[in-house]
Amino acid sequence: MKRRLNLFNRKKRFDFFSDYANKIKKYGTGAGVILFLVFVFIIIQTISVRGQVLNLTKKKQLYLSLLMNDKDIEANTRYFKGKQTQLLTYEKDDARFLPYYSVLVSALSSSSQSATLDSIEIDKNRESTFIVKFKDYDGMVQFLRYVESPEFLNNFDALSMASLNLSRASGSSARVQSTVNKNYQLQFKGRFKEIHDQIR
Amino acid sequence: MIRFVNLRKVRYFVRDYWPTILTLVSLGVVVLLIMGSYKTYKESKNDFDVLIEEVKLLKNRSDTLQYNKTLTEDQIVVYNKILTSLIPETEDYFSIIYALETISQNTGFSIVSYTINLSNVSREKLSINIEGRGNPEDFKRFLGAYKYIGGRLITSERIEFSGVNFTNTRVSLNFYSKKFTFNESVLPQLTKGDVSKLEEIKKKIKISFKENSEPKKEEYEVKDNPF
Repeated sequence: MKRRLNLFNRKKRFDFFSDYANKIKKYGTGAGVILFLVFVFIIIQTISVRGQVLNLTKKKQLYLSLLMNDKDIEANTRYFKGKQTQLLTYEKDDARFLPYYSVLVSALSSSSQSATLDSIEIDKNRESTFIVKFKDYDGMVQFLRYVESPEFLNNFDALSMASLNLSRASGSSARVQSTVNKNYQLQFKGRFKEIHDQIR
Repeated sequence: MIRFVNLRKVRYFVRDYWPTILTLVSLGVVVLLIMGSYKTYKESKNDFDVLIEEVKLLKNRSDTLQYNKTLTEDQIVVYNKILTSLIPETEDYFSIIYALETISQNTGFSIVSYTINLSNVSREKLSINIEGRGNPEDFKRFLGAYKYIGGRLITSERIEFSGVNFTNTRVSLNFYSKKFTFNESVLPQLTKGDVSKLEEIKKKIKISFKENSEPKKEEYEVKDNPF
């Protein structure tokens, strides 16, 4: 029997590695393709984001140039708002006498014809003390009824009668006395409800 | 000898398994490419996120500015002059005297004397006790007008009034001055209420505001205390 020698047939070395090599080629190619696709995806995303960054940079430049053109107005607006805040803060120190005085005078005029506002004091917290005078007893009683009505009390957060000054002669009834003495005084203390009206 | 054998083995290994080695090298290269490109992507994304915020803020600022511009109809310079007059940056005693005289003239409530209430003076607030003459109606006019009409913001923390026993009246009035401090925060948006309030004050103030003119420099020397 003749033995033939094939010089082109090369015997593989490192047989122990050949199985791993086949697996590496098989799975490595697949993984390589997937990784390459991931790479391409990332590149596309990067290009897209870069494009958006470019657009945003242009927008930023545009807004900056607009703001630069209006920087005086911006400075004026900031100054306006700052000063206005100061104004609103300091205005809280004011008693805002007239609106509350007007409310009280209006309420008195609709209560009793003989009711006269003798004196009034209002502070910045709307705390008030006022004295109402009456020419006759009936007028005072009429006013007291009115004071307890919601119509009058709606003007106040709190109201109480501090003193009642009746000048009456001894031995005579109040009803008789009311025709003689005209000095009936009621002093009230309380706090007005805040009026949110326009500036005066 | 050992070295010769090792080199020969390596050569054989490379010659036999070059496709495998190429696969591994390719995988390594692709992984490196992914890492590099991802780093670039992250940097671009960070830039993008920062720019998005910046543009959003700038857009808000620009829109607010345009809105404010439309709302104030270019009157904001006048409003600022009014506000500066009401609350000057530094106290100016002559403007206080001018304000009191203006109030007297416009209300008929004649202010005959004024003294500084030293117990109620601070860096921002000056309290002055005034004594006035007039009838109850004059005093009511004074009460209705003192706040702005003199060109200075004036407040009174407590007011007593007796229409029946009205004689010479003493009232404590506060005047204010404060420096404006620039705030770096978001540009404030004005409201119609802000503008209408200033318009109302503008109608009440009896001093002229020439637009587009620089405020005149005070020719007199500002004294600390004219009283």
